[in-house]
Amino acid sequence: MSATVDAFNSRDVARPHLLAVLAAFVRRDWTIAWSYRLPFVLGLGQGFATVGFLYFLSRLVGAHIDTSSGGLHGGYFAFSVLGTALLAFFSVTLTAFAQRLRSDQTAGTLEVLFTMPPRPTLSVLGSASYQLLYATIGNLLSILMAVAVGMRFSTTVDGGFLAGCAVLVSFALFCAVGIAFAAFVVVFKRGETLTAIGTSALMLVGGVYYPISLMPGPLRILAEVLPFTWALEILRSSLLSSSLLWARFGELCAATAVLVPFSLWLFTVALDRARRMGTLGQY
Amino acid sequence: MEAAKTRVRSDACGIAILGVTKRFGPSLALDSVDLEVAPGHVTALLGRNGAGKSTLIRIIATSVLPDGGAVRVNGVDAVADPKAARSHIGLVLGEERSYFWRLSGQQNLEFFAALHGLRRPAARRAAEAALGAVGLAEVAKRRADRYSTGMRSRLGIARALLGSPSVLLLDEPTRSLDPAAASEVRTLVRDLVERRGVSVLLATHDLHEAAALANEVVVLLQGRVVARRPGGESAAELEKTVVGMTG
Repeated sequence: MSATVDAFNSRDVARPHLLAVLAAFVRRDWTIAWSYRLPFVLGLGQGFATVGFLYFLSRLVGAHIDTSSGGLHGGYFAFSVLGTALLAFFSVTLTAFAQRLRSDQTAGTLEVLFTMPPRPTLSVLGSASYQLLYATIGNLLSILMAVAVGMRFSTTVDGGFLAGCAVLVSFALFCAVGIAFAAFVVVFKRGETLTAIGTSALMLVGGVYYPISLMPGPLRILAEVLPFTWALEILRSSLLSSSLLWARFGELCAATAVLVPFSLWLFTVALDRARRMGTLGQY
Repeated sequence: MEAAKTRVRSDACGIAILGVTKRFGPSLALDSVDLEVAPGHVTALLGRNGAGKSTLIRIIATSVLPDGGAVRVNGVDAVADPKAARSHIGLVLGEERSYFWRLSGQQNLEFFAALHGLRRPAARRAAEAALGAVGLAEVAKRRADRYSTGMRSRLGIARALLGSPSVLLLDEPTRSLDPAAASEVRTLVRDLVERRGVSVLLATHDLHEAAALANEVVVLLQGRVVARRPGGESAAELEKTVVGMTG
């Protein structure tokens, strides 16, 4: 061991930049993920099986459904592919923050991360960023495959623009929900059951596999107040029928504007509670 | 708490703790602890298991909030502005977990260096320098899960050096090290203190370590400071004090 303290140059240390911190987390998780090569490749192809399943299902039911309403303009295949893509994206954002935080709790890295210069909320966001990126790529590959086997878009430049905006705003909204779940994990340590319930509930009432108009009264009301169904409605309308739901998009933005600061506040409260109780390093 | 805050010098460098109290449920972990560690000084915290040493270190490191009292790190109020305080601190926890097992020692340190705001080339240089400083340069590319317990301890020290901290918090840093490696860590700490003016708060059960490094020894018992001894006493003298005070 050689005591080379002069090798440390304090001039190199600067205020951590948001993008640099996110990039460091992505690099870390990419290196870890690539050390398990087979699961990495299989994970990317996971969506292919879903697309295949939906393709054959649509051949069975497609001929028997009324495609003039309920967002089914592009046929059942396109309807369900967009639904499952958004659900998969939601599911990842819902679980990524809590899962990564839990993994850092058990690995003993959480306390170290939270005693580093970046704000804990930034570290939590960074922790999930690789998984979100990976899920985005997986989703894009699935949609490309769906297009290759017959899914067709019916959209305009404006429609594509609105869909892109809706995806970005939904991303922020889903992250807010994910961070709220992470707050739950900071306090109660285990949140897997809650995230599983969240994903399953959306499969039931989110309008992923069937239009929400098919559901009975109370369930339909519940579905109609979920920002997830708003996002899905905007995507399907703008990409499959060129119909632009700007008012819906405004509602989605408003929900996001409320939920993002709320979830960050909730996370800070949970973190302060863990710091007061001295349980940050516990699992 | 407000009164305590006003009594801490706002321009104080190093570590300044005044009247820090912490309770976990019915148990009083720290009871009105006062402590100062000046730049270029080492204060050793001694005491039995559960005396409050680790809690005090975690409070300074901002991972635990005190119930009362003031904590300043290089003049920064660590309770009111933990983010600013953290940029001055290098923390070594005694546990050998806290690494990313699938990453090499070098990759682990490059990641943490980025969190300190170092850009990639600077992060690489800092990681290499830190690994060299703790004698891990030859195993820099080895995955952390293949490190021995002692290597992981040294990796923790290397990580604490990445942000060029002016305050080092060491919680039993040589617990898992063999005598030679422990001696080298002490040399490194002494070097950081003498040449960089780093303030070091060292929680340890090793009286030889305390005797070798400390300018002041503080003994904790059930969360209270029960003795303060100047540096320079031998391990045998310290043992008398500690055993005498804590039983």
